[in-house]
Amino acid sequence: MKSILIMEDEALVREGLHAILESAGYAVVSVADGNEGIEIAGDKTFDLAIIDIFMPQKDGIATIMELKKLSPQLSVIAISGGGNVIRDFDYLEYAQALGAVKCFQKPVDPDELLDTIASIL
Amino acid sequence: MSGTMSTHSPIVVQLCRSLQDDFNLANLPLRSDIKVLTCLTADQCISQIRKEMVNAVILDLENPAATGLALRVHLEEAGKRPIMGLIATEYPDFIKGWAKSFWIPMPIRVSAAIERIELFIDLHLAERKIERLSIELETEQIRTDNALKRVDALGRGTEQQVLERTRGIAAQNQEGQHQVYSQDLSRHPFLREPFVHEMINALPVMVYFKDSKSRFVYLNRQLAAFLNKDVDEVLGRQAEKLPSPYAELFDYKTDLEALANPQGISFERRVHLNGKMKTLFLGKQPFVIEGVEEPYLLGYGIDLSDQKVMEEKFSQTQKLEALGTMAGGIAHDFNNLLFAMLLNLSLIQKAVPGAKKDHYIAQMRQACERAKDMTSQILTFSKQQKHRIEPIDITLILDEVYSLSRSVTSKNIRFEHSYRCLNPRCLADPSQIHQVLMNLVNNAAYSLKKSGGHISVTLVDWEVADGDPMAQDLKPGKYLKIGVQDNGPGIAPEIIPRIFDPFFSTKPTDEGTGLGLSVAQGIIQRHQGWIKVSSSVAQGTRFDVYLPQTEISLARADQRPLPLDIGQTVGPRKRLVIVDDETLVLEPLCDFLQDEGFGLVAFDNPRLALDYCLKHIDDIDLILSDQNMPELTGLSFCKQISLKRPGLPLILYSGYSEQLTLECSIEAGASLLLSKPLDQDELLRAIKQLLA
Repeated sequence: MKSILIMEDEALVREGLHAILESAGYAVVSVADGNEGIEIAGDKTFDLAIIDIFMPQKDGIATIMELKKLSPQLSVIAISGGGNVIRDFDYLEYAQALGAVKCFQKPVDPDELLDTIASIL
Repeated sequence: MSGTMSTHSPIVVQLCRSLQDDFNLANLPLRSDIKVLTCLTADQCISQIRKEMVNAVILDLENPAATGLALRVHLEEAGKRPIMGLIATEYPDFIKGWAKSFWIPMPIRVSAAIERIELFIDLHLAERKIERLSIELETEQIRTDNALKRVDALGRGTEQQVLERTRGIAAQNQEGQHQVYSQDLSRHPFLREPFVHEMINALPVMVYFKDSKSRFVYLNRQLAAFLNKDVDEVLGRQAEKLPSPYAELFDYKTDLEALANPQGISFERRVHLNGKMKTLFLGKQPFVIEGVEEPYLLGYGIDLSDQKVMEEKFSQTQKLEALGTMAGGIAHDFNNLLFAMLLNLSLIQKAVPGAKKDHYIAQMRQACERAKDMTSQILTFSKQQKHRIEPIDITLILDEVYSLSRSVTSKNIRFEHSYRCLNPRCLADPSQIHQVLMNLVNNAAYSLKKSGGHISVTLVDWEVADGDPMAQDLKPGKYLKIGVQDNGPGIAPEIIPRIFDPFFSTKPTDEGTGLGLSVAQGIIQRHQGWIKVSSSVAQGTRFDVYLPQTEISLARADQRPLPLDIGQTVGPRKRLVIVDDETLVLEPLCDFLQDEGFGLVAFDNPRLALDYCLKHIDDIDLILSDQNMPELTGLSFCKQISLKRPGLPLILYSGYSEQLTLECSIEAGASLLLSKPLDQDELLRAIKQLLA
């Protein structure tokens, strides 16, 4: 069974993602914060990580960078809520540059998400 | 020489050798009107020619003087030159080319000679005549010309005079008018300087002078243009004669006010002119002119409209930027909620009826509710654009914030509130303060979401003295200090300096009121207050909001409604001080009295209580004190208070075991003695009676 790590601070989204991926047959661990996520990734190996770009405490970009250093073979999907007009550049592009395999802008169609994950794994 | 001269008769002068000469014209039958003068010397001839008009000179060239004389005659000026007849045997060559000279051949054929002479004389005469006439004509011409010129000149001269006279009269008229008003000012050398006039007219400022009767005696170009009138139309008139709204702008009522104050007055006025809203800065001040007893009024005005328009545009730009930022945050949240909805919808579609399905449905509902709340918050935020500064009772706002927060936070968070403030009034915009406090409480609630905990909201008096470290951020004076404290995870020390930075966030705006701490700080600062933060990791965070206290009374409608069970209205919030060293008694007593709507300050240390009361003696409406206390008894406390302010309502209470009598208490200054344990209703009635 493939394992997926979710890092998302918005509870409703996190729980929804967790449920959808679990019912699709994946082993899912979800955390609300980047630091926690990195810690867990250090202990266990995952096949895929889905990371929200805008999180408190540690933001998604930094998390992706560290995660990639930790486990370079880990595939990363970045998702963004958008709307952060203060920062001019496109965070998703940045994430892609860092090695995220796919970037999504919320809201994502769940079926599309599942298909993408299936194709990666 | 013979014969008398006649101006009209032609004259012939002859030079003879002697009177016995053969051809002596005098002896010959010349025409009778011709006069003959015989000269024996050349000089005689010349002098004769020069004396009067000689028409002819006859010379016999055998006379040795003749040639010389001929030459001399020839050289006479044209007007005087007579014709010359030269008697000679041969043609005298030297006269070749000479006009008016002829040869009389010798021997003389007398009759021919005479004929010739007569002819030439007539010619000469005619010439003379023509000459004379010509000169006369010229003279006549000149005279005519001059005459014409004179007539011309006369004519023009008259015109000019008329014009000048008219102008003179008009000027006199005006002078007469102006004299009344400008007389005094023109005496002043300062205003006579054309340079000063130029300068005042060049300034982009409206300037005017009014006399002691409020009449305009001077106005510069700017003001005339502003009033859309000629200077003359305004001079000598009072402002009231101007059309509205000008009359109100320059009215005499403010004149009196200005004259009474050496610095004068100044004020801003907004006025509707020519279809536009204009902002004017106007001022007036008394102006003393040397030698004039009554002061004049110097007035000025500047049109600030353009600046105001720019300020307005700038502030709108800022608002738009803020709105943009907020819109971004809202979009982010909505995206999250929509995603959650899609996920749950998908789960619901695939799930079989059961607990899981119900759970997904509930999650879906929650997402929708959150979205709904968000839109209403946005609407509330947009309504809050009106800023009204007014005296408010901060406890009312704190209560609202409390009940709102209570309803939306999870049950694992406990709320406490304690208001220990005698005068909870400040000048503020209630909606903005509400937002700030909601923000702080929400932040606290958010930090406690996972683990639970408690949030306490406190209100106390605070005073900033000169030299206080707080005086860096706050002006010395009295403040309300509102504390919002949680026992959550705290804020890391490296983040603390940044939390008031705009755009710095440690959480998504899923509970957003649309404000960050930077905006909150901005709001409080605009209220002349300050927000302070202190935090320790794993221990909790505390925000203190300082707002300047005010003595201004509230509008009746804003007061907390007090229970009226004894049928008496008890005015604005009363301020009580309670002293009891037993906290088990003190705390519930405070809660009870607070709920009844009193402002409270409580002490469990009588010495501190005494210090406080003596300091704030005039702000206190009633004191409630226990008798049995260490260091200072209630009685002594009473005595000291009543020394400072006799008549201040003071209730003492004591246990039965204490030997305190009513008489003793009254003597010490107490108004009433109650016995422990206190009956709440009795206490309340007593307090109300004393305060009524």
